[in-house]
Amino acid sequence: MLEMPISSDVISVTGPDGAQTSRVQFLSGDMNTRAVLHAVETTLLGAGVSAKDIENIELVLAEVLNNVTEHAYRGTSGPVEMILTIAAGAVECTIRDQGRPMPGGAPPKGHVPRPDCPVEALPEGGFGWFIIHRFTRDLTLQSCEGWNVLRFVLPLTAEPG
Amino acid sequence: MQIDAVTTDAGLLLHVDGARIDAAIAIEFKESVRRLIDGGSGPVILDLSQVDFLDSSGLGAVVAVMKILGPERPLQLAGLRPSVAKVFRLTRMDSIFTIHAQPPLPRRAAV
Repeated sequence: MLEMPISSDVISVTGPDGAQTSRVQFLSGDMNTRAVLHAVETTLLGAGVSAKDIENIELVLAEVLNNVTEHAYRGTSGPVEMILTIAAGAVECTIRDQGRPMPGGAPPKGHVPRPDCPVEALPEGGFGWFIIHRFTRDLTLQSCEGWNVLRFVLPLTAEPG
Repeated sequence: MQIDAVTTDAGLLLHVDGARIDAAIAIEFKESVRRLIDGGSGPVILDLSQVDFLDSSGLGAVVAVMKILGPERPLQLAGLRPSVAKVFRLTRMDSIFTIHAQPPLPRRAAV
């Protein structure tokens, strides 16, 4: 297993094309997810991403990291790496973990209940993937040398501000 | 997370004093609300005006509270910030709950 620091420090570099790549490595867990989301929010603000886009990005990243904590590393904790490339008009995101692979190998579509669904039949979960798909495109999940690698693009919708 | 219960003419008002209802707090939130509503009757209004982040774990906890209350005690929401209202709207859960712009005022003490 790769050695990883227990940290939510975001390391950022800017490439010759002006795109900023930010990387954060940490151990899975609900409180680390909070710390990482806070650090990423600060990074995105510094890169000029609008507050409205950051709100959506934070929600998507929360859902992905919750899945890593609750499903991939269920009952234990393990390394997670997140790489964000902030370019004009979009943020490309790669999140990888060494937990259990996704059953079936493909990311779920997610679902929301029908409006006429009776209260007692309402789901208390399953909204996460629906939210992830709603704000992302080009989402892929691969298995690579013991890592589950989830990639997606978060289109930026609002003017920087 | 602190949740304060206040009796109003519209029902039991639960004021959530925390900025996030996320995976880290969802179970504690559900259990705190469960204790506050235990043994009562009538509608319950959840004041979310201090909450600016709610993920699907938080949404699941709110749905769980609605189920605990059962059909005789409606769960209503109040004071949703735009970031929270968006999650309810996206998942179509805004059609399940009665949503008030503002929480009801506390019942005035009897003179």
